[in-house]
Amino acid sequence: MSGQVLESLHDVVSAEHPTYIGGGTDIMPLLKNEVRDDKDFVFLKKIPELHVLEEKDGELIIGAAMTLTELAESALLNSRYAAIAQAASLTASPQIRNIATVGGNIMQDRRCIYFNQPHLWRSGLPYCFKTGGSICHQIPNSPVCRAIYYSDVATALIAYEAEVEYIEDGETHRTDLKSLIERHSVANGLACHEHLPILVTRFFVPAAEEGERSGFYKYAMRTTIDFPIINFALRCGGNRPARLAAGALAPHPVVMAETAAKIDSDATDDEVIAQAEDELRKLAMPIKEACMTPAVKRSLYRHVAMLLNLRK
Amino acid sequence: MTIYSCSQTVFQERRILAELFDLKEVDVHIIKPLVGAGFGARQQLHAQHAAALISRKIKRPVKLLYSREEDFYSVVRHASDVDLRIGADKNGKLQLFDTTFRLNAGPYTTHTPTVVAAAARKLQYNVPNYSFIGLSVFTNHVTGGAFRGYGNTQLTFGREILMDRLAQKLDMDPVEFRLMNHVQVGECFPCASIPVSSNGIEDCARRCQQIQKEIDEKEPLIDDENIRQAWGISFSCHGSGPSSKEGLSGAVVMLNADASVHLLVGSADIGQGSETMESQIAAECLGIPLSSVQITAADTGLTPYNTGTFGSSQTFICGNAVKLACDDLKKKMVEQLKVIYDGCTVKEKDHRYYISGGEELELSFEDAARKILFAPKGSVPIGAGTYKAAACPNPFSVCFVKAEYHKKLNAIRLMDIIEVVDVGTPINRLTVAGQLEGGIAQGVGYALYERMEINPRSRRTLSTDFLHYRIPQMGDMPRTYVDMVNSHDPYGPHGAKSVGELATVPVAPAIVNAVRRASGIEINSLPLCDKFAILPTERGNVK
Repeated sequence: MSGQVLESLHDVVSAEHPTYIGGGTDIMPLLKNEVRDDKDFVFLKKIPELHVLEEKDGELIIGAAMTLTELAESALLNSRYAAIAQAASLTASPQIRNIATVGGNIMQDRRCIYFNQPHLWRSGLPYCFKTGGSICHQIPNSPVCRAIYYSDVATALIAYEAEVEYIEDGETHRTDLKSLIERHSVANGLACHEHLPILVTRFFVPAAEEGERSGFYKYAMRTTIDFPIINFALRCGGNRPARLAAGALAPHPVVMAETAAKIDSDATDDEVIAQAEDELRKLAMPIKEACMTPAVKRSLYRHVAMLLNLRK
Repeated sequence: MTIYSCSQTVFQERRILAELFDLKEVDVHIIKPLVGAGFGARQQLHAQHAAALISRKIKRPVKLLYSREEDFYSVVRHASDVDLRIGADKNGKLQLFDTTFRLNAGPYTTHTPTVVAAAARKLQYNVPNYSFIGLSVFTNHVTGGAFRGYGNTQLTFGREILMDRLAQKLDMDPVEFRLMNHVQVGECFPCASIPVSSNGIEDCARRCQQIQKEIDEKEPLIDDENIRQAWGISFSCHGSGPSSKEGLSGAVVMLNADASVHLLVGSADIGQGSETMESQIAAECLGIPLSSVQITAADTGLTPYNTGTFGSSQTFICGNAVKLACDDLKKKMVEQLKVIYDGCTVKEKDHRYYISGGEELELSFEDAARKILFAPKGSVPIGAGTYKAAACPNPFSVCFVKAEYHKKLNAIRLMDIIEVVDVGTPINRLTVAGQLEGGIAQGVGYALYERMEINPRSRRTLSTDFLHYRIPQMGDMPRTYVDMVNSHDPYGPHGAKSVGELATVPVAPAIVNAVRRASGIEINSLPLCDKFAILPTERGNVK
C-alpha cells in the first residue's frame, strides 16, 4: 500500500492505478469491510487549485477539494445557488461534512445492502459484480450491477446543468456532470478495483440568472446522518426553463424533463405531483433497501411537492 | 479467576462461572468497570465463559470483543404477535381483557418465559375477567433477550391502542375513560395479591393536560387540506423490582473518624445513576454531605450480594438496603456511645447525639464518629442492611403525543411528547428527568423505525450497524417535556419508586394513538415507517 500527497496539479502521480482521496470518508468503510482493496492512494487536499469557490466569466467554479461544510456555509451559494448549499448542508453529519470534499462526494461508490457489509456477512453469498463476481444479488438476471448512487450534491449540480473538469491519462477534459456520473457508475459497477482512475478538479455551473430560485429536498428517516432515500433539486424562475433532478433512485441522478415542463406551465401543484409520480415510475430503478418497503419508497415520489412553493 | 465484565448482574455471573468451572464462588472475582448502558442486553452471559476458558488454556489474560454486528444480533428485544380483546359495558367500565401473547424467542430461550410472564403483571385497570395466555415461540430468528420494558412494552402497546379505540366507540374522553377504570390505592391489579401502595396517575394526567393546553395555546391544532394534527395518549405502569419477587440486595456502610463513609453495594450502575442515588440516600440518612460518601459497587470481591440491575430495581431494593444499612450504623453508634458513656442515656435525633445522666453532652455526627473510633471503649462502626422485596410498588406514567399527518404525502411528523410520572419521591430529579428523556427517545425509535431485519437471500441480519438500525438522534427528537408529580410510597427509600423502564413503555402507543387520530388509519403494528414516510422534526430543505 502506498500513499502520495500531491501539492500541485503538476505533480507527477507515481501510482499506476491511483485512488484519489479528498476527505476519505467514502472509501474508509469500504476498505474496512474489505469491499475494496485499493493499494495506491493519492491525497489531494493540499492542492490549492482544487480549493476554489468563485463566480468568474459567467460561471460558478467549485474546486473539487472544497469541503461540504464550506459549500453549505458559503454566502455566495446560499444567496445565488441555494440548492447546492442546501444539498451540501444535508449530507451526512457535521463531522463528515467538515472533512468530506465535493469531488469525493460526486465520485462516491454506489451502495447496496449486499456489498456494504463486512466480509463475513458477504461470505455466505457468491461475489457480486461490485466485488469481483458475476451476479447482481438485487436482480439476479441483470447483466450489470444495480446499486444506487446516493450523492445529494450531484442532484443539485445536475439541476444546475453543471459540467466537470477532470484529468485522465495526463490530459484535461471537460464534460457534463451527468455523463461523467453515468460513466463512473458503469465502471464502478464492475469490481471495485476497476474504478475510474480520473482526478476530478473543478465543477462549472452556468451563472444564476436574475429572478431564479432553487431548492433541494432530501428525504431520509433521520435528519442527522442517513443517506437519502430520495432527493430532489429544482431550479426555476428567471428566463431559463425549469430543471428538476432526482437522486437515490437509480445508478445515477435522473432528470425529470416532463415534470419540469409541467412546473413551468399553468398546471396545478397536484398535476405536477401526479406527473412526477408518473415520470419517476419510468425513470427509477428501485432495489431492495434496508428497512424500507417498496410501497413507502414509491410514495416518496410525491415529495416533489416540498419544492413546489418555489414556483410562486 | 478474575473477570472484568460490563455486566448488569455480576453476582449471577459469578454463580454461573463458578458452576461451569467447578470453582468456589469466593475464587471467582467479577469486577464491573465504569461503563454504562446495557438496557437488558448485559443481563445474560455473552462471551465471559469463552474468554475464561481460553485464558485458562493459554495461561494469559484474554480480552474478547464483539464486532458491532455481533453486538447487535447477540440479543434483541422480543418481537411480539399479540391477539387482544378488551370489552366494557355501556357506562365505560371495563369487563374483559383477553390476550394471547406470543414472543419471538429465536432459536433458544434466554429470558423469554420471564418476559412473557412479566407482561401479565402490568395490567393497571380494574378488569373482573382477565385471561392471559403467554407463549414463548421458537423461531429461526435472532435470540430475544431482556430489553428495557421486558414484555410490558409489547403488551401495553396493544392495550393502550385498544383502550383508545374503545374510548372513541363509547364517545368518552380517553383520559377520563382510563382514569375511571384505573386501580386505586388499596386495590390490587388483576390477578395480583398485594395492593397498590401509592398512585399518582391522576396527577400525572392532569399535569400532562396542563402542558398540552400551554402548547395548544401557542400552536393550535391544524386541520386543513394538507395537514391534520392530533393528540394521542397512553397510560402505563411498571414495577420497582423483578416481578418474580427475587430482588435482593445488601449494603454495607463503614464510618470514618471524620464522618465520611465508605458505601459498598452490589448493584451495577449502567448509566442510570444508581451510584449517585445510593450515595444520596446514604448522605440523607446520615445527615452528611454527598461528597462525604465514597461508593464502591458491583465488585464481587468487595461488595455485598445484589441480584442484579434489572427490573428497575436498584432504587427500591438497593436503596432500601442502603437505608437499612445506615439505620443499622446509627443504631450501633448509639449502642457504642452507651458503652462509652456508661450509665448515661443516649439518644439520636436529627443526626445529633444527646448524652444525659452522668454527663450532659450534645455531639455532632462527626464528634460521635471520632469518639466511637478513638475512645478507650470504642469500636469500628459498620452498618449492614439487606432488603428482599416480596413486593415492589408500581410507578405510573402518562404520555401525551402530538403528531401531524400529511394527507397528500402519507407522511407523519412528531411535534411534541409529554411524559409525566409518579415515581414516588425522586431521589435525584435530574437523573430521573434524564431517564425520562432517554426512555422517550427509545420509545420514539421503537415506534418509528427500529427493526431487526433478516435478509432472506443471505439469511443474515441486514440491520446490524447504526446506519441501518435506525435509532433517533438529538436532531430527530420532537419537543420533549417531562415532569414528576408529588408522590410518596410508604415502602420506598425516602418514598421513592423506580423510573428506568417505565419511561419507555407508554411512548409507542401514545405515538400510534396520535397518528391514528390524525390520519384516520387504524394501526396494529410497528415500526410506523412500514406504513408512512416519517418526516423529520426539523427540516433543513427549502428555505
